[in-house]
Amino acid sequence: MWYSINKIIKPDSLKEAYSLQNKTRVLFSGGSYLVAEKNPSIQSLIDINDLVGHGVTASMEGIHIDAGATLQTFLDTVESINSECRLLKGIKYSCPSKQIRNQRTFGGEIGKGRPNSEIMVFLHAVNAELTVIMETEKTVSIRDWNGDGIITKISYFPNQIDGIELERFSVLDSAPALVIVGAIKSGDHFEFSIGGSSGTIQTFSCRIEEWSENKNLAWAKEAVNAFVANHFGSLEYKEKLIATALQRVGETL
Amino acid sequence: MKVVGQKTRRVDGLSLAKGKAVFADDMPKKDFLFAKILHSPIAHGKIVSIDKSKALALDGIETILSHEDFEPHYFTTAGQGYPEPSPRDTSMFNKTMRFVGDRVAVVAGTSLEVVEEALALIDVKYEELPAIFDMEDSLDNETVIHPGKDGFSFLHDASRNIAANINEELGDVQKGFDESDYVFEGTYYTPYAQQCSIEPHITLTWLDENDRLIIRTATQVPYHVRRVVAEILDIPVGKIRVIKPRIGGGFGGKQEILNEEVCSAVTLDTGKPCRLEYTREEEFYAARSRHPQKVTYKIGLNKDLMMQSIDMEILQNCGGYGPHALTVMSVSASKTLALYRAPNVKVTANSVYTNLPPAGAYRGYGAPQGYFALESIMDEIAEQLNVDPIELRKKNYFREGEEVPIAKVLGEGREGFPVILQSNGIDACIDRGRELIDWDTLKNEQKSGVFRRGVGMATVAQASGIAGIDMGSVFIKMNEDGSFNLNMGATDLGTGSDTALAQIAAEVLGLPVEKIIVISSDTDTTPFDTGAYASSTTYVTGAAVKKAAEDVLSQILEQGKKILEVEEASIVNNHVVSKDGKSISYEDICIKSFYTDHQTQIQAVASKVSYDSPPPYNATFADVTVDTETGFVKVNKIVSITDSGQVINPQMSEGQAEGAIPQSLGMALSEHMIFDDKGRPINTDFENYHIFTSIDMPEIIAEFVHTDEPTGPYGAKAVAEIPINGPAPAVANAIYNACGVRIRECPITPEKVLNGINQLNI
Amino acid sequence: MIQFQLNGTLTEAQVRSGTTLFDFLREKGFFSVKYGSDKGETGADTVLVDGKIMNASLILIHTLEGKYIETVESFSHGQDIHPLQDAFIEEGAIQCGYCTPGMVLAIESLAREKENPTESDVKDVLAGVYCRCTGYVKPVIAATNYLTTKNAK
Repeated sequence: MWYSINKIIKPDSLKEAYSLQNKTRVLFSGGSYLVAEKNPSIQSLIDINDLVGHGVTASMEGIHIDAGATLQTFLDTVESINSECRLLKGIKYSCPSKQIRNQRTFGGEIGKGRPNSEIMVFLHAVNAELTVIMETEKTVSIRDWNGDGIITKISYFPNQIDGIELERFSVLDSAPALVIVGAIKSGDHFEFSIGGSSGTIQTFSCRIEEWSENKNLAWAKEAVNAFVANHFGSLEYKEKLIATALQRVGETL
Repeated sequence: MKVVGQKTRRVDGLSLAKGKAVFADDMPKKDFLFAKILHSPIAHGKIVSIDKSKALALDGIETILSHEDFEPHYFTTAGQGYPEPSPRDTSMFNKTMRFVGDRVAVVAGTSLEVVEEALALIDVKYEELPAIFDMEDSLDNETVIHPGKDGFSFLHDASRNIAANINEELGDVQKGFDESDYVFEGTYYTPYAQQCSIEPHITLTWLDENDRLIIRTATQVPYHVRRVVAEILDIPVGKIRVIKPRIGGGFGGKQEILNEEVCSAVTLDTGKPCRLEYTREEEFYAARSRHPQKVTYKIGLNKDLMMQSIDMEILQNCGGYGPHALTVMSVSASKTLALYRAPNVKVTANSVYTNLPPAGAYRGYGAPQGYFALESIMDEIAEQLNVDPIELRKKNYFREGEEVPIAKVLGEGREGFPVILQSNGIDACIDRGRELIDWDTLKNEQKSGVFRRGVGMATVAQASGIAGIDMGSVFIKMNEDGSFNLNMGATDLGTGSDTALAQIAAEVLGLPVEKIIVISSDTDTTPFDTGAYASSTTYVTGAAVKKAAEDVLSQILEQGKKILEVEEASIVNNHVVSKDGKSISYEDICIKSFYTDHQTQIQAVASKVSYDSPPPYNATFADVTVDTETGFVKVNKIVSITDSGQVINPQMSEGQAEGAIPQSLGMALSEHMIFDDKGRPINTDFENYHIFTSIDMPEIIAEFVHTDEPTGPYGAKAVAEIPINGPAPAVANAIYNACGVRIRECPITPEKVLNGINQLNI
Repeated sequence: MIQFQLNGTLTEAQVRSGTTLFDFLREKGFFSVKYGSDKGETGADTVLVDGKIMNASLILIHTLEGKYIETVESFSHGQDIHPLQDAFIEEGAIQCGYCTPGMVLAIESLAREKENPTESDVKDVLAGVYCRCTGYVKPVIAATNYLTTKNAK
């Protein structure tokens, strides 16, 4: 029971939903994060489930994920295209529980913006494009999005990507990763995104011929500043993990 | 044998599979009050005042109880036999808070909502005291956690923060070292860990139509609950009925009087039924856990590899209170020192208070901590002497016919009983495991590359109940359809003991298990049992079942002879058959005994206390891969081979091993409860406390070798705890074999491994 | 008021806004749905919603209009039990049994979703059902036996 909730609001449009938000009224789609936390200062939920799509369309021109699509719907789509996809396993770990994957939406996952979510690190690596509704609709890169607005669609474009890799280091497969590194090869560039037990997801890119072990070490040194030390690793150790992950994904690409 | 040793479907399998209402909380709760505990936010301090007025003013709050409402009565929350070997150092509500999570008050109201609101409105003022969080700082610290006053009863020296102490020496250890060719020493650490039963602690209490207090609770020890609640609340035992329904896992965590007394207090105070359930978060900091230990072994050997002296030193953190403080570390010593023979043995152990959560019983009960140390140092010795670790071990095992002297010295808080080994299958366990893990190939192969594979092993022992203390009793009666009621105090905590015990009865009576109707763990309808702990149920209560069933069987025969009017007869296929061919079925014997011929109820009671406690043995092998660039360890395979004597139910016994293994792997690699610098718990959910889930599991092979234990029912020994002792040291040893890094502290986190690798410069 | 199908029966729920499906089911006596944690990880609260496994404690009732909900109570009628439940008993996959309903629902959802699920699919659906008793060894065997027999038919 989420005691503090006294009202479910069903707005007529996303614009209306956007305007209704305040500290005690929040957007609600899948609800897996919100209901788990049961924040007592929230009193009303603005349910946008009927206003967002729930599907995933995939073609070579682009993968388009509706904000209301669940993580599992996306995984099933990827699997139907390529069941051997190595990524599939990696991004599944964003949420090892299929129960929760069946409920958690893409919009919710991005809205939450967990840096230890493999899906988030992946979307940063491919620099997914978000369609966002505020007063007006606009598109914004996930790396640039400031959290304002209601996401309606997430798109990325495999034909611009020559290779994708994801490396994660976690104590157990089911445990949140200490370090997650996503990487793509696109034309003459590598792009890397780094998440994990970190305050934010960071991205780095360089021309392929400039990529080197020293560059990885320098990036790792920079990236680790956003990380936190915990009982499974000091910052010094996490810096090493980031460098190793960068090296591995780069070499595989 | 037709039933014992055979695959048998669980007697409670159908109801559990169907999701029937069989657990403590599975009943309608109309008119129930809901209770929650107000926990201390500070690690150490005195309660100066509690202002309940605002909370009591809320509509729906029925009562708030705290220390002012009771005369202090000191007891131990440990669910142990009487007199308990744990210090009586706590009361239902203490005035001094000794850890974050300690109990300040209980609030009960008509809904959880109003109770939670009330919790926030209780204004408690504390006078904070300096706190101790590091067990190595506790001894003789100027901060004394239990200054001690009237009513407390301490086992040792609370003024030095020592909750319990052991000093025992057999032979002359120093002389043994002086005469040894080699002496090795190593210190090993194991942390706080949580039992993590999926069902939390839950208690429901109400008054029945005769105003007797009914306690329906998830417990491993219903009779101890009854005794302790009666004592604390000062009501006669006869006024209390404790019912243990099915319980959703215990692993020692429910060998505790954790909330039963406080839920009962609400019901007595209000006259109303009350429910108190812990949340997962509370399970992590306000329930019990495995005691952290620092264990140092010093072992002296001669050139022929025979041990001369073992000196074991334990420093144990029992937290703010001392439930199980003495006995857990006593088991760390007595179970490990029962494996290898040395003429000179010494144990020095201190359990110290800190301002962290009180630890308690957790499967293995000290043995996992002790064996992590012992089986690590055994490998270190073998490595340094350049001998095969298996050969080193085999040279030193106690063998059949030998007496294990430590058992006599270290009983359950008092002198124990001698153990003379009558069955020891350790060699067979090792040989089978060695083959299944492909030991000789994997151990000796060249290690190179980034990912390095290694194997390790550990051999361990446990016991079968607590000699001279654990007692089980049962009652069997016959029904006119040839079925039998088997009523027993024994507590099935999910292990399947109801089934195993029914199998024993069925075997004696020559019946299929379906004819045995089991009722267990209800203090009104089942006879006394000390409870489900110390791997005692099959061995101890099983022997009582066998005795009672044999009595019933002889009564059936006698009654059959009387009805048939013959002098001699025997039992054949559920019939009493005379030499001249007259025959009568069980059913007819019973119905005639009820209504027409020589009327009587065929029934028997039996009790069993065992002065033997034969050790089961186990050899565990681990196959791991270490990522030498990151230190991450992946367990590929665990092989666990156990000697439990004659296995009563092979499938359920395998299940015991298969379930114990991931708990120990968690201890080795991923599980530890941690606290911030104010003693506040940090990882109180499964996102931050990592237990093995289905996708984390390695390949598991769990098998049994057969031995015949003459003192056990049908040759049985215990099974429930032993398989948890081996995996952690086997993994540590496998990591060493893979990459040459020796980690002496659990959990073996990847950073520790990588630091080790970096020091080796490989 | 919200209407949904619960184990094949049209059910009306007139409840407060913050009520979860877990609260509703326990109140109504569907005790196979159990508490394991507040965040869904243990999956003791697993139910099927339109055939998909979900955590009842993370679902607010108002989202269920028109949905089809199943709990393990609908899997048996008297002695007549679902073959998967039978496989669990037969293979010794039940110890304390607290997680069993969740496991049964998880595996059944997999059986409905996938024609030839692999062992890794089985482990994947069980990742959201914590079990501290079995090490998942026998549950995986029970599931595999059930799925194999089902596919052979």
